[in-house]
Amino acid sequence: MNEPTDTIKSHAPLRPSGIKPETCMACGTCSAGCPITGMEGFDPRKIVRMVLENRDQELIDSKLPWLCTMCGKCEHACPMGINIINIIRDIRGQVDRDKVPGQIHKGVELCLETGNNIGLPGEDFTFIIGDVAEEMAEEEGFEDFVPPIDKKGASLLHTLHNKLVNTQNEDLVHWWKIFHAAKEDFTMTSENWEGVNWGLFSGDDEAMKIIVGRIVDHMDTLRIEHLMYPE
Amino acid sequence: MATRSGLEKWFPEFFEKHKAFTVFDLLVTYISSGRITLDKNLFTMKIAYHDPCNYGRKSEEKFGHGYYEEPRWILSQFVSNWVDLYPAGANGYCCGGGGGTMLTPYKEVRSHYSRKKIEQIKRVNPELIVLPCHSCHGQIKQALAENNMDIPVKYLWEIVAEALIMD
Amino acid sequence: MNIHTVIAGAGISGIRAAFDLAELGHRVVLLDKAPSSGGILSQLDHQFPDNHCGMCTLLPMIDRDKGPQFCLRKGIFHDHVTFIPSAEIVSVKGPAGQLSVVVEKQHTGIDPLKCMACGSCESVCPVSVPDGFNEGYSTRKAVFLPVPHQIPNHRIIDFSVCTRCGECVKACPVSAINLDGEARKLEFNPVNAVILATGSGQYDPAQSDLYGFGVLPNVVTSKGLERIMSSSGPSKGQLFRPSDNKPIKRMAFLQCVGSRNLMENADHCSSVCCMFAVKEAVMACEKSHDDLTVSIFYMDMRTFGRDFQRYKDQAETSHGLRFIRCRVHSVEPCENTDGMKISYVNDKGMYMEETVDLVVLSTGKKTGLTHPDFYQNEGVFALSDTFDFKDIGESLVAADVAAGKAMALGGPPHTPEQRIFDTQRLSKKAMPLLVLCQCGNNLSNDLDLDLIESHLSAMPGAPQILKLEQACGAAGFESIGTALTSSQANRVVIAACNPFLFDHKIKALARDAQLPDGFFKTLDMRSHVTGKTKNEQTQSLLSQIKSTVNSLNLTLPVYREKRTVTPSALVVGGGPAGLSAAFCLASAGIDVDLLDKESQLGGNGIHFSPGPEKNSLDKLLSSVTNHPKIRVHPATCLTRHQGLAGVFTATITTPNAVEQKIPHGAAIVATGGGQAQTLDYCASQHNGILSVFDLAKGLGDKTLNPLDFSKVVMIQCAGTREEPRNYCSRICCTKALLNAIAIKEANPSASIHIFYRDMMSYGESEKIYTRARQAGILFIPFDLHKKPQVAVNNQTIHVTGFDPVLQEDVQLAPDLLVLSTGIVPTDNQIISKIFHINTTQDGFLKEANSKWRPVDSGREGIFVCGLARAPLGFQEAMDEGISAAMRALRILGRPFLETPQVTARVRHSLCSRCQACIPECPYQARYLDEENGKIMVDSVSCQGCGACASLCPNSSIMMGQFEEKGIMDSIEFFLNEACP
Repeated sequence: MNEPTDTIKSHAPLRPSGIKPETCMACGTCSAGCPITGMEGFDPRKIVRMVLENRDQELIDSKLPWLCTMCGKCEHACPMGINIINIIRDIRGQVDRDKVPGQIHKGVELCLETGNNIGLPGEDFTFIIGDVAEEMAEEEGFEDFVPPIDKKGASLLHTLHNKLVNTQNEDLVHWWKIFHAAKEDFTMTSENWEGVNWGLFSGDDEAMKIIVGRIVDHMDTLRIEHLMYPE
Repeated sequence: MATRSGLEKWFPEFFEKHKAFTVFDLLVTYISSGRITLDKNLFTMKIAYHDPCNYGRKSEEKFGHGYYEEPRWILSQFVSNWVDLYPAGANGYCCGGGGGTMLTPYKEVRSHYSRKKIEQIKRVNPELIVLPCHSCHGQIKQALAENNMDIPVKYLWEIVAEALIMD
Repeated sequence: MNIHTVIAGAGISGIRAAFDLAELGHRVVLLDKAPSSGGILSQLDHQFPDNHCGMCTLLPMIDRDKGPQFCLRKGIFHDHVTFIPSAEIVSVKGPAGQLSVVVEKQHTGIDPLKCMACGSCESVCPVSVPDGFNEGYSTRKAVFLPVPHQIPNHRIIDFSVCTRCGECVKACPVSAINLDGEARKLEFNPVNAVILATGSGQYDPAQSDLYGFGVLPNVVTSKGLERIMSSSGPSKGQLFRPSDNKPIKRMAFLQCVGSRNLMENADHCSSVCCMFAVKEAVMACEKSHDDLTVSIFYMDMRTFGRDFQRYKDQAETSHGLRFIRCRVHSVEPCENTDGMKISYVNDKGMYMEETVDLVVLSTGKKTGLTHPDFYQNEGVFALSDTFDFKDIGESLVAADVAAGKAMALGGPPHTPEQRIFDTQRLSKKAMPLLVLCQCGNNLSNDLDLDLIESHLSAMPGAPQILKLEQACGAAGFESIGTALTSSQANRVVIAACNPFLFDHKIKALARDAQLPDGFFKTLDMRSHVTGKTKNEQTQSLLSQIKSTVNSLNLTLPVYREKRTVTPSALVVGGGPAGLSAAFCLASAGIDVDLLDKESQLGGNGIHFSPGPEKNSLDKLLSSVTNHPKIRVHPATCLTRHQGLAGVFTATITTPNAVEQKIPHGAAIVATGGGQAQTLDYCASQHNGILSVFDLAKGLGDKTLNPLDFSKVVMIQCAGTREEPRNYCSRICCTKALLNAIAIKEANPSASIHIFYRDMMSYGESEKIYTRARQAGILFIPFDLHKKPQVAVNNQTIHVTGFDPVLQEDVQLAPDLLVLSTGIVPTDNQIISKIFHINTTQDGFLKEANSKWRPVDSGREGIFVCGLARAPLGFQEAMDEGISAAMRALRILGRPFLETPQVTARVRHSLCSRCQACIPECPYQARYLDEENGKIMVDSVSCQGCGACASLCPNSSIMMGQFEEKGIMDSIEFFLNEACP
């Protein structure tokens, strides 16, 4: 009987400690500390155990990896330094894309297609930005504020969380105000302005790389020196 | 977090030409260099600070540094009565909406997770919750509403923006 | 005065090593960084299994008049041991045997020669800081008693918190305080050896953010709980919650805090915490009259020592301790109380949450400690695994091994002091000399010594009185000496202060005056300063003086038997323990007769596969067989053993059936043990079912090939750790792990499942467990009520188990099933009868005390070690052999054994030979001399405890120094004083 080779156990990246998942002693720390242990059969220790027994497909077919918030609290206390979160992400990445639950993969697809996770058309984006900026300029101290977009040679690139141009327009202004007060020479972009990268959650490295690549492109084309990490 | 790890993984040369900053790096620079000044009398209510996993544990693991001290330093510059939730920092609780779970249909599990955050908040009983993460913002607001708790939630940069003293 | 060895660390290991060498006649300097002796045990009052202290059991038993038979937790007093507190070795130079050792002694601010321990300094000190002795649960001043029960009880100044306000200097009546002193360097040269017994510290849980230690007041360490429960602790022995002094109803122990944790760089088990927790849990239950729920969260209960498993089982059944197999993630506060919340996963796989009043962290040993730079110098011996936590018994064995190495460097041979007695003076009527110390006039406000003097002079048979300004100084003792020479006095009472402070000076006086030590008595005058009126205090002292003079007058010289020691040893059993004992004795110049019933020496070691253990055994075998002092008797049986310590005779039967008598001074029994058999798990029904030991042997001698096995199942604790064999055999787990690793390394595609109850990879062997998991071996825990099931059908082995992690049944059809059957002793039934020594209920030879006398049999002069005593590993057996040899050398290393001052004697005319005293003697010192029909006391074994005297229905027993007349007279005297 030969061990299968291409298993989660063998390829999930290790934490910086470099410790193999086999080191797990099933002590229960992770399960005892995870707030959703027992919900819908979720139990981090069980997941690790199944990985050690090469029961990958069962995990891939289950919704367990999608219940995990990947918060890493389990790992934080794990006395053996097991890579539980990387295991979860590895499982997520092996799920057929059309079986990824909820909006995660759909957002990734939209982002790849349209430049943002919600598929907001360019003109709508420009309108919202302009509208919110106008309102802000009515406040004392910000009278001369004009939102910079695609400004070449700006000092700082400011990407946006899609929810700010969706349901939470009112939260767009906070950074603008700070930049304005700090006299920061910043810019946003009209295309590919999305700051969040759900490829991280869906375990989709390919998409993740493309989306990160867009930021690199912005910085190069607009000759921007500094980046403010979106999240 | 995703962008930074993506840059480090696939575009390491990016860092030869460019510099990148987290929200904390920028705020700390603006405040300490005097580029912005903040009103110290505005936030006198009891404020609880929540550590997002991404800036804490995960940054610590991925980049060797967790952003625990920076937000607390920023708060200390203009907030007179901020408190920590217990446990906080590296052993803190996730809001319940991490890992993209806000985008999944498993709302019940998410709410179940959040009970821990709610317990933590109840122990401190703050008048305002401040945090630096869009997911945490959404999830904690939702959890508070589900538990009929009327406590506002704001972004760290939101209260900085509100406290700005414009010359 | 030549110092043989300097020992750093005065915990029990250091004390033991010191006594080992002192009993061999060597002089030893024992020092400790701390201001007191006793190490961690100064803070721990109770040790399982009997939950008593018992530290005094360490006191020398052979030449016990070299020190007072006094509570060892209070201090170390021995003629050959100089204890230096607050001191550390800073350098060791020179070759072994001629070392120059420099010690730095901290300045503690108070001159012990002047200080009279009145405590005035402490009462005026304005500083208040947490008291380390009580783990911070009480406060102390900057000038304080580091250990409240210590003697001498001089305070010290903690200069790190002292404000140097000078109040104490002003308050001190004897100008003993100096705030500006500096550390002093002391040099010892030449010194034969240095022993490092500095021990380990405890992991500081405040460095972890998981447990809330230092944040949540009701999270304590196991040592903290010990202080909270101690009668010398902050709540005087009451079990209260630190935050609000409320009673505790629910308590949780979290095991492995700082141990078994790769993230803390702690890939080890700290070995002692499991039993420590069970003991504390039992004590807590007893203190709260079982109105307490205790949960112990653990991964493996490591109950691997003598009686540990039964102690744990007993705790579980009689106190209802809950043992929950889950490591707790972290501790959180409750919403509105000082309680804490703990979550865990239970044995049904369910997530549980509960609230407790107190969380106890079983903190393991500190990591990252480093040896000093002189550690590897020749002549410097660190205790094996200096930084490990060990059970008391094992610490003592390790200390014996280190002392053995120091001893091997030589030194002056043991020359017992030859005492001459002034028989003429002794034969005269009792003439007492009373020394009254005025303590530099410091007592004049409290005691009226003139009144005492005039009162005594008026009484009939008045003692000669010598009033001294200060008795304790050199001048004081000189005047007493002069007074003795110039008078006919033959009894001396010294009324001064704490007798332990100048015990050795009094002995010198006795020697010079050629009087027995027992004719000198010391009174502590200060004990009469009780806050009453001066007159009352004076009367109280006067009564004590009168009664002491009276009883001393009635004390007679004791008869002192001098027993010439046969300077050779008998070692029975040529396995690792016996071999190492024989070699240690022979190296010390003792002739050894080594018996083995087999024709080949080596015991179980002959099955060792090539490796470090085999190499080390082979080396030992050749040293023993080639040693001119060792006579090996192969294929020889012991048939009879007679005599007393120092003068035994063994009768042996040689292979050609010849009887031979072997006289010897001490005997070491190391008759070994072997693997147990079991009928469980279809053990004999399939040739693919082997014992862990047979597999190890087969893999070693290559009769078994790992490539032949594709599916392997191992089951631990087969037929053991449950009644009737309810003990852990200690080595099976490690053996199973090593077997599994060996198979997996040779045959990576083999699947290996190990069913275990508690993986006993204690100490550093935890690393082997980690390695085994990393090799891909799967571990499945089981409980006694859910053992795996084995069936053999059609030549196939079927194993059905339950994986509690997955909550699933596991079905396996292995081609190899390995059972860990445990260890049983071999010949103990006969051997124990031959030697008149006891066995445990499991048939192992029983040591006198598993904690404090781990290799002494109940009978002086007979020592037990190796598998015959208890299951243990190869290195442990060799160490026990050395330990037994060191114990034997206390007897063999001296030309004769002499009766000490206080022993029991039988007045045969009153004795009815009922023999009730024989089984009651804790030292097996009493026996029936069948030839003469008399009950006899072996005066060397007798420790003068008096158990026999209090029991004898005919009052036929006399205790030396406690003569009936003297005691009764004293009592009468006090009664008369009280009700004239």
